[in-house]
Amino acid sequence: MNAVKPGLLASRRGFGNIAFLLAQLVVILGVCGLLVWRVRQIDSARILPEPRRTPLVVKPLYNEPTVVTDEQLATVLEKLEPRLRSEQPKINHADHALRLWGVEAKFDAPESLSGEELRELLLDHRRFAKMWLGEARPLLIRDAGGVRVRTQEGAATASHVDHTLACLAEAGTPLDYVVHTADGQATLRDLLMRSLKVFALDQVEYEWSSLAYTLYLPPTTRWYTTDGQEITFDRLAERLMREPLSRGVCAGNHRLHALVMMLRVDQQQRILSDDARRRIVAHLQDATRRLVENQHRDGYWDVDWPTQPAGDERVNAQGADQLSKRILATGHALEWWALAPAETHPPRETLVRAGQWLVRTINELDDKQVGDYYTFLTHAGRALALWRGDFPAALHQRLHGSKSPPASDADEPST
Amino acid sequence: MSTTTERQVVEESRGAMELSPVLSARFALSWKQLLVCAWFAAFFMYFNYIPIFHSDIWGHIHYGKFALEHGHFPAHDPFMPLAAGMTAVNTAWLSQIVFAQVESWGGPQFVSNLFAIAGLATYVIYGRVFFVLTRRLSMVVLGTGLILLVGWSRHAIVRPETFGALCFAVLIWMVIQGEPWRSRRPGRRSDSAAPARLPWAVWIGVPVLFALWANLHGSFLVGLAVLGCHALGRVIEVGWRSRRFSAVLADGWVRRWAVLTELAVLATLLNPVGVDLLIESIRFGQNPNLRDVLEWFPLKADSFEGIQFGVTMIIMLFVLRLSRRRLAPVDALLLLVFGLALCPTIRMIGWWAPVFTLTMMPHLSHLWSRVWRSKETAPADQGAAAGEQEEEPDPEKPLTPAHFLPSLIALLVVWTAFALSPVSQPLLSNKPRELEQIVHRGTPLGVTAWLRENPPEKLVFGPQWWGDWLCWDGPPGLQVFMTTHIHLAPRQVWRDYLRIARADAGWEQALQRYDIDLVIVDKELQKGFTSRVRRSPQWRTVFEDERSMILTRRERR
Repeated sequence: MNAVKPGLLASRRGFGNIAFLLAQLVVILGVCGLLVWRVRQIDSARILPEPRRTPLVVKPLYNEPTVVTDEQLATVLEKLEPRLRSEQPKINHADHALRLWGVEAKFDAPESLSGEELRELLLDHRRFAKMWLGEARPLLIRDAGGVRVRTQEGAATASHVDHTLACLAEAGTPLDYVVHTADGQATLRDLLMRSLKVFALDQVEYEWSSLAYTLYLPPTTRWYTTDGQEITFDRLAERLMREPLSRGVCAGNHRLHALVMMLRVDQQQRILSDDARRRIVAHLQDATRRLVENQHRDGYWDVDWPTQPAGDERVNAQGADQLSKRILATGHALEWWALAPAETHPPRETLVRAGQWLVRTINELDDKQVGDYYTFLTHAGRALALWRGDFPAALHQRLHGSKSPPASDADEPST
Repeated sequence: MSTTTERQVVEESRGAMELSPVLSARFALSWKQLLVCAWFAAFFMYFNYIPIFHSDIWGHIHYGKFALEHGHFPAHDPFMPLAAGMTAVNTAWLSQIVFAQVESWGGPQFVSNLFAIAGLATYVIYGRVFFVLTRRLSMVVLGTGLILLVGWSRHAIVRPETFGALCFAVLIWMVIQGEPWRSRRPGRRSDSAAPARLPWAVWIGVPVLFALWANLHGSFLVGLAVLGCHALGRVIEVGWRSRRFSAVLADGWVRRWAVLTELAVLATLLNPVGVDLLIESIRFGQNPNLRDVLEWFPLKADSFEGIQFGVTMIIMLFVLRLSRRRLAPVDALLLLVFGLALCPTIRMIGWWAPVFTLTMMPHLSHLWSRVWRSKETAPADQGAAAGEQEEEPDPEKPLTPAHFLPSLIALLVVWTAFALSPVSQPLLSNKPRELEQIVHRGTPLGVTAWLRENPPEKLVFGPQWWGDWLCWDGPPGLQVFMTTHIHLAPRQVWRDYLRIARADAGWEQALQRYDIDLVIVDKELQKGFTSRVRRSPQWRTVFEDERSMILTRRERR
């Protein structure tokens, strides 16, 4: 009765085998599919952020003729024209000059490079090669991560990590700006994305990366590093405030400048938490308090401004290095104050003394000294211009009637 | 009349003096069983006195405590601020809860007790496995001894991996219910000898085990590998024998192992983060920071683990050459997979040890028979069955009090081991051990005492292997540069940690960059750094003992 025909049995076995095989395939593919789907989901959350095409602009807020008069400013700006049409202009001079003057600047002096020429020098290998004859190594290097700027390898390279990128951002360069490398064409976006790919919160130099991200990334407020670390502007700010005030390039002033830029961008696009904003303001106020305490009666600071009163010793030929450091410390401080919220400002006389000391000092510099201190002087020149409520190129054009563009559409500064 | 009464009294008193056994023969241990009992008692005592190492255990307890207090685990490492923003998938949350709860009940001593009990359980289960496979008590001793020796560098570390090792032993206990182990058991010569099926307990036990294991420790992957090897090994075996794919598909054991493996995989998804746990466990070993830590070093011939592995290879070749038993494909796969897994990271030696011993056990037993029973008429491979009978009292002979002597001695041994072990302290009211006796001698007790008196306000630099202890025993809220959770450290932070800890060029600048004003040094393991930081004019020593040193920056900013 229960006997099963051999053929039927074999058929049942065959069906069982196929069912088993199919079940295995379903389970294995299902688990693998789940894993792949989830891995992609995790990884997609960690892709690099999508930046904005044009960087945000942070405009000056104040117009204080007591810090620098029109006449004084005109003299200073004329002295700081980018006379770089020489052979082998230093790249850190070029990017500082671009930052000071902007891309639309034009000058009567034939030895001065226009803003557009300065940008080309940085972003077009053909121009770089022409001006740096004999320099085998290009400034721009294309690699798997994108395009990077050769850094800290001599005069034909940038002086700091992401410094050139930050300068281009402050000069308003859009990310679709075409970049010519020795290996072909790219865009500025490739520089930014490469920077984001290799960025680490605790890397040695991070001030200019922070600045570039502040100008190019909002409204994005969080992203991941390649290591998988979540970066927010709060976290960047914490990093900028972590080290003692005197630490960092240019006596720590670039960290303060980056914090100020974050505060100002936060007014345009919310990128900071309330707590972070409060902490930044308190940090800047602490820096201001120390600066006020340690300012020399003549108006300058030394590079150890956070802890030491500025020295009395006179600057002579042997003390030239000391002078450049004073220009550095004083120019940078005046620059970030020019963009900072008023609640972080020192008393007006502090600003006036600093501004007037810079004017006097710059006026006394000879051409060689201007060349030697050019990078520091660009900060001083920009600071003085910003305290008159506009960008240097616009003021230069207004004061000299040169080929520079008309006054920028900066908000009406307060006086 | 009186004579008769006297006789009766004498006979009655004689009867009263002759003890008659109340317990059955199963309670009468043999002398060999007594020796095995003593062996495990020694194991237990040894595990009881293993000091708690100053490594990640304190971090795990801290995490567990955090979860018990807050009702959830931290999203980021709360003790290592430099890892802020690094996403952490907690692969040992249940172990952390267990450790933290046990610690809250009885402090570090209870943690030590828990480790001893888990360690004993692990080895007892292996002992049972080897006995089931060979029916030889000598193999129980040999097998557990081999596991201990081969996995020596891993056995004494108190951490969630302890529970992983226990789960692994339980899994091995389960898998020997199936092929090829089943056929190799003494008295079961072929598949047809008994119904070819897995006990229901295994069908239920394996998924339950993996669900538990996945929540206890990320090592559940090695368990999946064991099951996968059994499935694939059976496929190879049947396929090789039959040369027909249909025969492979129709084979009952192929199906059983495949389904069991799948059930195990699915069971691992029963955890708070679901499939992310599987992904994290697979990806974990790829973290580049781990490559700088000893236990994640690749296998090298001149390392301790390399020598251990080499010795096991020699033993294996020797055993396989002499054994007349065949090496099943499952054995070969297990050896291959776990051997290859050991090459990139020496910490796998802890899993290699039981796998190696398990796969060698049938062959060792066989050789044992040949060596010790060569004079007997029984074929060598039946020796195990004979051995099994030998371990039990002859049922034909009446039990006498002497039969229970080994049992009594065994009880004495067990009691002695218990009484002499710290685990008995709550019951026997022994004097509790001092903390110095419970923790490893390298634990910086003096450092944390100093830090509690002088709580630092900022980030503190110390060796990563002390980081967890510093956070656990130091002042509340202490934040350290690095803990043993190095996989959570961004690459740059880890590189800077190494630069400082090894006193490489730029170490002082790195300390400045992280705004560190207090440095803790392990004088024994950081000789270079000790010498450099001592010589540096920027630092002054504020605490020093035999093992450690604390220095602060001379000029605070």
